[in-house]
Amino acid sequence: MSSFTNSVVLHDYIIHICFDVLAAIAFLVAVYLSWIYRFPQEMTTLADKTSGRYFASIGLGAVIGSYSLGTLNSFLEGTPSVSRSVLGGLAGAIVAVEVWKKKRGMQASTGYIYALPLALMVAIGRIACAMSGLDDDTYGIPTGMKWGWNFGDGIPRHPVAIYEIISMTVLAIFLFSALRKRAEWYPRIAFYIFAGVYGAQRFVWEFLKPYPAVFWRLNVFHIVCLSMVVYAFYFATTSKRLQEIKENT
Amino acid sequence: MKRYFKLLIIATILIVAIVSGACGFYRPYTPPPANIDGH
Repeated sequence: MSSFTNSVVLHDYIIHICFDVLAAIAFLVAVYLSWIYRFPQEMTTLADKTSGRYFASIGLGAVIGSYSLGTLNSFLEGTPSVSRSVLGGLAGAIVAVEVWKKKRGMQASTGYIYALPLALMVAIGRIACAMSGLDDDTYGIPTGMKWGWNFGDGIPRHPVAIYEIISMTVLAIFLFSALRKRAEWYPRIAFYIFAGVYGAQRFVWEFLKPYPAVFWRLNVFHIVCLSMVVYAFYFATTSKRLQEIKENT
Repeated sequence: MKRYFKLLIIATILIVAIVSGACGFYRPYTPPPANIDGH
């Protein structure tokens, strides 16, 4: 077999914990650096506008979304079990925050500070998925490509987690570059760029996964990805900068 | 500002603890049919 192979020997449970902790640390450091070095005024405004309920909404939305979407997919696969999904977590947190903002009549983006950290977090977290073998249920369909990855059953498969790591790393570099230049658009649409790019690239990778279709060739993740792209486009074109709102009031 | 970051750290730790592999809900792998094309 000419394909690149990588037999997984480490237990996926330990691997996930290690990389999830690493991803969380990278996330917090990136948030802190974004504040310190680039947008201190924006962050002060954001801190004034948000409260414990804001974070409670994010947490509740992320947990409910993650478990709901992951479990729904495992149910559709015919092997019902409690499962999780990073896409579900992101979508759930977005819905929760938008509801929180709607209740307060807030039109500005509050997530720009998380754009770069989230891209980094997904890129690091996905390393665990790539290393966790078949039990993780994040492997791709069989492929004849040279870079096919043996997840443990001897069949070369698309390493979809690696594809996602690459796309999120490219996005993180782009966002970091914009942050360094203090791009004017960053506080207004950076989060929507993250959400739109994440949804679009994940939509493509989903065609390379063995998940059951629910409509035409689309699985349940495809539908959530499309919704995320539409959401990102709509809010990127209508959302205001938080600082502008504060200055006008 | 300090309060914001305190809340952010707490939320991040809780989300990672509940959603990550720390909770350990995995199902055993079931081999797919040999001719599986994904859909």
